[in-house]
Amino acid sequence: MTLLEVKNLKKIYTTRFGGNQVQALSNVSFSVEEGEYVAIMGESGSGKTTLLNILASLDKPTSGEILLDGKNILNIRERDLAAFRRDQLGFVFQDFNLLDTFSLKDNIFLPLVLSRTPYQEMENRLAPIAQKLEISELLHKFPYEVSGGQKQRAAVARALITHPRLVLADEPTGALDSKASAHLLRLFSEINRGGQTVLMVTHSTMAASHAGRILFIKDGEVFHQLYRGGMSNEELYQKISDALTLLSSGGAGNE
Amino acid sequence: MSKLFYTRLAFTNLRKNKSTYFPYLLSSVVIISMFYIIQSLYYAATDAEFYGAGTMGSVLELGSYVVGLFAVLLLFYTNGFLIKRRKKELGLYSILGMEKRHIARLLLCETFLTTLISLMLGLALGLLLSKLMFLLLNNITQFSIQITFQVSLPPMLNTVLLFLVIFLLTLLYNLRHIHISNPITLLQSSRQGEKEPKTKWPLALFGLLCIAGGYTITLLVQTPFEAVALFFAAAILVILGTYSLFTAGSIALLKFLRSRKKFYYNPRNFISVSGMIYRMKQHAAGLASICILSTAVLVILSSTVSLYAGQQEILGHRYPRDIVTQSAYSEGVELKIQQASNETAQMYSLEVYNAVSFRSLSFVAAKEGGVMNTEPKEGSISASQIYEVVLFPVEDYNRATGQALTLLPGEVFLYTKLSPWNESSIQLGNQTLVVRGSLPEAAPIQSSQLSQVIQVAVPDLYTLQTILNAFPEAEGIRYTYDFDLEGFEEEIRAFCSDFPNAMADAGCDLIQADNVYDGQQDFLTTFGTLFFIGLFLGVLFTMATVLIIYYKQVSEGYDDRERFEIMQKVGLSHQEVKKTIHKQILLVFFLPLLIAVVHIAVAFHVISMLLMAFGLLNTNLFFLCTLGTILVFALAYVLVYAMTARTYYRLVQRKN
Ligand SMILES: Nc1ncnc2c1ncn2[C@@H]1O[C@H](COP(=O)(O)OP(=O)(O)OP(=O)(O)O)[C@@H](O)[C@H]1O
Ligand SMILES: [Mg+2]
Repeated sequence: MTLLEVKNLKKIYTTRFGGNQVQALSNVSFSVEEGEYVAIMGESGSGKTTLLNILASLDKPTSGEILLDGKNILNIRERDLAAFRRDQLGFVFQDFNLLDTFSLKDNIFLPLVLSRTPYQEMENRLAPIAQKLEISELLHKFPYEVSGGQKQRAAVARALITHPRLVLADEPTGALDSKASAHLLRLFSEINRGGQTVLMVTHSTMAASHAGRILFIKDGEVFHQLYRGGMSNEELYQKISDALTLLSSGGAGNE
Repeated sequence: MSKLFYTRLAFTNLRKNKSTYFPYLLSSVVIISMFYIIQSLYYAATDAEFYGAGTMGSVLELGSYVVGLFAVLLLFYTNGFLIKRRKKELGLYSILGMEKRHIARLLLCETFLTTLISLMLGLALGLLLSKLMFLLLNNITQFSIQITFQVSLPPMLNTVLLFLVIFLLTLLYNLRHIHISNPITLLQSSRQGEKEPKTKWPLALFGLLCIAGGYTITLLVQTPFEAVALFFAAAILVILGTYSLFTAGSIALLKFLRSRKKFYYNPRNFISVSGMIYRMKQHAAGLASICILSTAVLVILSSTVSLYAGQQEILGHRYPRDIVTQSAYSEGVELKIQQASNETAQMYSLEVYNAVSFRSLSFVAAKEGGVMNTEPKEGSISASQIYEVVLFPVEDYNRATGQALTLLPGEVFLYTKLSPWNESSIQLGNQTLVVRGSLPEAAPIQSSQLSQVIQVAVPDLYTLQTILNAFPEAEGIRYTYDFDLEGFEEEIRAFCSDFPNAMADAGCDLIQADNVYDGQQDFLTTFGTLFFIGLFLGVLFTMATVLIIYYKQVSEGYDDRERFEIMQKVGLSHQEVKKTIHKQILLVFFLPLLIAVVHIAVAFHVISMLLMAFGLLNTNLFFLCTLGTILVFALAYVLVYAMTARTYYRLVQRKN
């Protein structure tokens, strides 16, 4: 079943001073099946964060459609949007977006508290996730007291604790060392096997090689796609490297 | 060249930070002008050679100390706020290669500019407004004494001197701040505010004890005497308590709430409790200041307004009749004084009427149960046990009040001013007298304004003399002859100034000879000046409150913007976020006002006692004045809030 369908998405940023316009997305179309694990790759500034923000309805596209379960999310009212966001979506932000007034634990609990989950239930959910992300010891600390990588893992925990149908992760391994990255990627694969759909933006070939499909974005468009098929992680890793080389040389050729 | 560079940079900086610098400059200008005005009034009053100018001068002098002290506090507070906001910018300068002494020079330039501008504008405004203020003061005191508008050097010099020192001190403070911190701490200092505050239990407890102590003192006060003695101590305790409770107590409470899982993990409480912890950490001191200032405004205004409005009544208590006299009583003295008074009045073609002729004996004693003891053991009695005992024959009371009371030997009627008399008898010396009942009204004679007073109507003069014999240290029986005068005002004035001499010539030895006209002028001067100072300080404190509120709104706006955005990203709707933030802001801003009103409510009793010391017995009047002041102030507060809240929301709701 198709979970997410993106049609002809276009986003133009207009800077406030002078009509200086930046085209972040020119024409993006793709679809994601329920239970898929998709990685999105592309150069810095190619529009990946913009795409994810629009998918999470944090931003509005200039034109185009986004269908979730066949419903256009652009037509959801602001009030319902908030509930939709916290029940259906888990978003790992590139810049974490943790609240400085809450401890890590309370930051992670935030979406659950908003949907009035009993305290015991929240604790039960937190324990395994925190353990897998290796932040159990840090839960009582505040964001300014922990490292960037630790913050990122807390942000991941916050996105996953609601068991969202769709996980949108913007460079979730960006601030992590290889060991922590491996743990995180294993966690993503695990929840994906459990039926949750994952959409992950990444610069890391290593991270992308865990996905079932890789989308390459360039100049605001989906430039290329790669399916795992029956490949192992190592084989896929090689394929992605080749594709990236092609992407950058092709990019050079275009200019 | 390089000098010009710093001046130019300083100018640009002031312009760039105008949303925070402008209010600072404005308040400097206003406070400078107010200090100048009160100083010039003070000098004018001390120059004036009128009777009563001394009183006015000393009230104004006291007022100018308050304004000066307050200027120091206010400018330091706002300067602290400004420099905190700017630390990041200064840190950046130093990372970009400015040396510390260059930064120091920049700060020097800025301070120089600020000082120059605010002193010039402040003095100009002061000069402009002082004429108006002279007029206002003269009008309030109804020209009872007239001080003439003048522009003189001393007040100007004092003003310049004071504010030069203040600005110099703030500069030194800022330089020290820059000097002791390295660039990284400067850069990160805006983030340091994010640290979660520690719970300071001892301080919270201390605050609680202070408030409890202050409140207990004010509630236990029974006499104006105690009120005068203890008010200051109680006020200090309450101020200390308010500060510690706002800073430590609020955080202790909020953290306690946070530790209660059931309560805390609930959408509404979750966000407000954590947000409040953060807010209180940053703004507790500011909020406590607002609370104290509001309380001060309310106390000062309500009491000075009451005194001003209640003047006639106070006058009535102090001068039961227009002319009041007292002399030592002996056989025949009554007739002599009455005749001499009447004859003097006739000399001025005036007529004596409404005369009260009264014999009384008064002394101070300690009440121990039903016994009035003039020689209590040292340290065994409290101030509220001390009574002025006034004894008089019932016959004199009847004559003065038009009652027709009768007493059998050994019986008395009583009247008490503050605490009721619950015993069935009263022992005076070796006499134990049965209390028949209470007097329907107070006898129209002067009595102590500070201590408890008990008036005792005894059967006859003989009883009075017997009691006097038991108290050899009492001053003896006094004869009071008070009367009103009918006639032209000019003649009454002439009579008043001549009266003591005329009586002496007639062989009457008066202990006291006062008239209501001199009293009235005294009152107008004293209470008028007090009222003026009350208004003056009220305006000043209100301005400070506005300023602090404004700065708080601005700084919170900057801080909340980010949080506001994140919460929406995580799944709180725009409306919900707005609602929670609105609620927090309301709570934070109206908490000080609320607590100020609580303070006032508790202090009401002690302040009405203080006003009694001035002779104002009308608690109703004071209540109305307090209520009115609270309403007006609350209205102003709400207005300021509404205006600054707009700035706040503009900051928070950055458009997408
Ligand atoms: N709010 C904005 N206003 C104007 N332009 C923007 C805005 N946000 C992003 N852009 C521009 O849109 C383009 C795409 O930005 P985006 O953040 O989506 O890139 P990205 O692919 O996530 O890059 P990175 O890998 O570095 O995170 C960039 O050129 C960026 O400068
Ligand atoms: Mg990005």
